[in-house]
Amino acid sequence: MTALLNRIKARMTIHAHRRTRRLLDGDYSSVFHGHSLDFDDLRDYIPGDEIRDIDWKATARHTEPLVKRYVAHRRHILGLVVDTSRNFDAVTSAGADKRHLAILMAGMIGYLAVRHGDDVMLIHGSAERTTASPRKGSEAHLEHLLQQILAEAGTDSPGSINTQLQWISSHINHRMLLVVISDQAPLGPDEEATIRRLRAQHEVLWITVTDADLAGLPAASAPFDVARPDHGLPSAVMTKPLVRQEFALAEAARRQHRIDLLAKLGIAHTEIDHPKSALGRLHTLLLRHRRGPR
Amino acid sequence: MVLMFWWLALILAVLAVATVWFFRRPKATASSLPVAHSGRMTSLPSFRRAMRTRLLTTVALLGVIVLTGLSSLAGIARPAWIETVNPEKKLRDVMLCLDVSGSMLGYDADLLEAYQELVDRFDGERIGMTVFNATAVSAFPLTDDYDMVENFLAEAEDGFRTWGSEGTDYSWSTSPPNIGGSSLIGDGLVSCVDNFDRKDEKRSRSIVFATDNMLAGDPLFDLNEAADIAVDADVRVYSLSPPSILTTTQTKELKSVSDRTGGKQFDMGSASTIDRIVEEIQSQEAENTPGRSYTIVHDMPAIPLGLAVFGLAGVFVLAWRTKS
Repeated sequence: MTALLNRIKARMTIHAHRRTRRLLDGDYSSVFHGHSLDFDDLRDYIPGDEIRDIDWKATARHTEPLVKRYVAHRRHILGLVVDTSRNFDAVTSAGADKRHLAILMAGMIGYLAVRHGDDVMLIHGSAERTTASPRKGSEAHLEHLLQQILAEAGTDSPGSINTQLQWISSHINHRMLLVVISDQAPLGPDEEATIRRLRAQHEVLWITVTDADLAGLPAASAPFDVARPDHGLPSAVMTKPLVRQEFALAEAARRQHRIDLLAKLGIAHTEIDHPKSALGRLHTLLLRHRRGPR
Repeated sequence: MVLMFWWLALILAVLAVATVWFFRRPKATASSLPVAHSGRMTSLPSFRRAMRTRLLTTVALLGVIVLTGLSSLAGIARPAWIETVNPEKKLRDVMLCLDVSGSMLGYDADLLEAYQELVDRFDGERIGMTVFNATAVSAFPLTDDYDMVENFLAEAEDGFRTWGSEGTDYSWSTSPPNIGGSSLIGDGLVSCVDNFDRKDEKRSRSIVFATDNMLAGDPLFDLNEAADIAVDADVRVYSLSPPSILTTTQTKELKSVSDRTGGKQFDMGSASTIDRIVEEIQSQEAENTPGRSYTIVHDMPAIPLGLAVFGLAGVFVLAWRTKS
């Protein structure tokens, strides 16, 4: 039953040696900027910890830097916001499966949260329906959440991350760390308004799973749109030089727009296209969030 | 215009349709690649342009292929123009033999009119005309130039209707002063028989012999002798006599002449006479010369096969354009 999470843990272990994993832990814990004032104890500094948490006096008496640890006065809540519509039954720009990549990213962050002692909840769905899970802090619960994402495979509902975001803004009133896993669906004015509202209440991190490069598909791949599975896409036409050029321009413009929009809203953002770059991207994301404008 | 091998074309068409049906491209297979948000691509103007171009090229290619296939099939079906030729008709000679004696003058114009109708019904036969009274004159020799024949007949008819003031007058030329008597029937018939040419060829020969058989004078041949000559020359005599209540003996004599030569005797005047004469002559002649008509097939492959060649070139050009 814990197949998905075990695989994710294995990936984190294999691909990240101990130091990097602790680095991630540090990244994650520094995501939360609000500290309780109850000092608990000191521990060794790990790269990624906030510099301001270093107890300089204690460090001076010690050979290694020491960091103050506080007792969290409440458990944090990680909200995984995942688009699980049919759009995620497609491939990424690197040819990987979008749904499994989303599960990997959700699983890694969720595992960090569970190790940190936080609760995890999942808000997922499509344009038609949004499902929210209870908040729990166990690995079994996280595995269950990941299985829910997987169980949506094969759905024929169209996707719209705005639906999930609006559900959150109307149903959840406590502060959360939201990690949004979406794809290259364009972010329009509606989305911008919703994100702005959420941003005021929650910590928001954004992971974009990049969609396939339609102008660069191999000739024999016989592509089709998940929205119209009975109709193939004409790869011969899509790879014509003129079309390819215009597509590249349009894609670059859309990508720049998304990056600019999320930057304007102060949301850390990363793009991911393949599982092998997942750890690095996650680190970048958490780092960006810590360094981002407050 | 018929298609000789229409069944072959039909079979090939069915085979072609079946081949296209069996070898048509399969639907998207399981190995195909799912992608999302294809609107990113399909909303691009250049993509739409390219798709429109491809659609046009495909339609053009399909059209050219279908046209090429159809014209090849049309060529394979062997379009031909079929002509049935009856050479026996060309071996028939009909001599119109007209008595222009005084007793017949009243009928001759009508007879010539009847002859013109007769000529209209003929097709392929050679026709000649000989007029006789005291002596015989060849009005025109055996010919298949029907326009000329009709001209001559019309002019002769005019001559008889106007008593020689218009058209051709035969009554003077056929009664020279040095020959006594008139209406020398036997001599006339012999002259008519003698006017057949190409005597060494085996041809079907018949005479339409229009006379009232009112002999006046001393002929060289009497009618029976003339009939013997006709029989010897293998000429059938179809006699055509004006209706007359007084001429039963003469009519019987004519009938016997016709019977001996294998012809028939008709009375002029009834509306269906001409029909019956034509039918009779043609059927009689058909019996005598068993018609062995044959068919000439004129193949006309130039248009469909030419189209197919051009279409094939077009298919290659378009296929090359589509590939590149």
